[in-house]
Amino acid sequence: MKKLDEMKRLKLLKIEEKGFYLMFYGLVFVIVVQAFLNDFKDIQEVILPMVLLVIVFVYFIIVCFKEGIWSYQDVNQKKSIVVSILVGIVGAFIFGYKLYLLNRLHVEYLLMIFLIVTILMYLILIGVNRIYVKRVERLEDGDEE
Amino acid sequence: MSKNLAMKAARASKDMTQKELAEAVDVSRQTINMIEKGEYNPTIKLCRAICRALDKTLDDLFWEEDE
Repeated sequence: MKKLDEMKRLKLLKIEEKGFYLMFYGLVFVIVVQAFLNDFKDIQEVILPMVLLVIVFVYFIIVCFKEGIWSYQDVNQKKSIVVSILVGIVGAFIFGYKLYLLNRLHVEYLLMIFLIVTILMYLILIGVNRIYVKRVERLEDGDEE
Repeated sequence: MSKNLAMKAARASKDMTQKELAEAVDVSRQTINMIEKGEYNPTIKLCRAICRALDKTLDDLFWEEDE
């Protein structure tokens, strides 16, 4: 049997890419669902998959940054705000559920959590975007050899 | 892959930096650098764009002699 030609190699790369995202987000989904089903009691049950996720995520970020890659699209403030708000909503939902289980669910707490998570996420994204922009500038202005 | 000296020479003859050529064909300077070093095979679309920017033909810049 012949080895893969260039077209098939590209197809395989696309398959691997989709497989990676399926696995990554699937794992995130499974961890969240498991945590909800256990009412966030037994963190030990999800700690190993979480560690694996973090390792993969950190590897991804480091290698992408090294190559001057961050996103398929332009990095801008509007997107950072939208992503921060979405993460804030998810964070408020997860913590809100925990508060509900502890019978301490109040709207003020939810709002506070939403604001804290949103602002934190926004600051992280702004920091990461700055590092990315500096890295790209360094690569683009580098030596030609 | 061997270095693409023809492309480098064509760029030099037009007095263009890698960055200027990169901007002309809408890619990053790293991509142009990797093509010249022979570390990346561009798509035919990018090859054509580079040829247009350097006023050369595909054969001039991307022909490889049989080994």
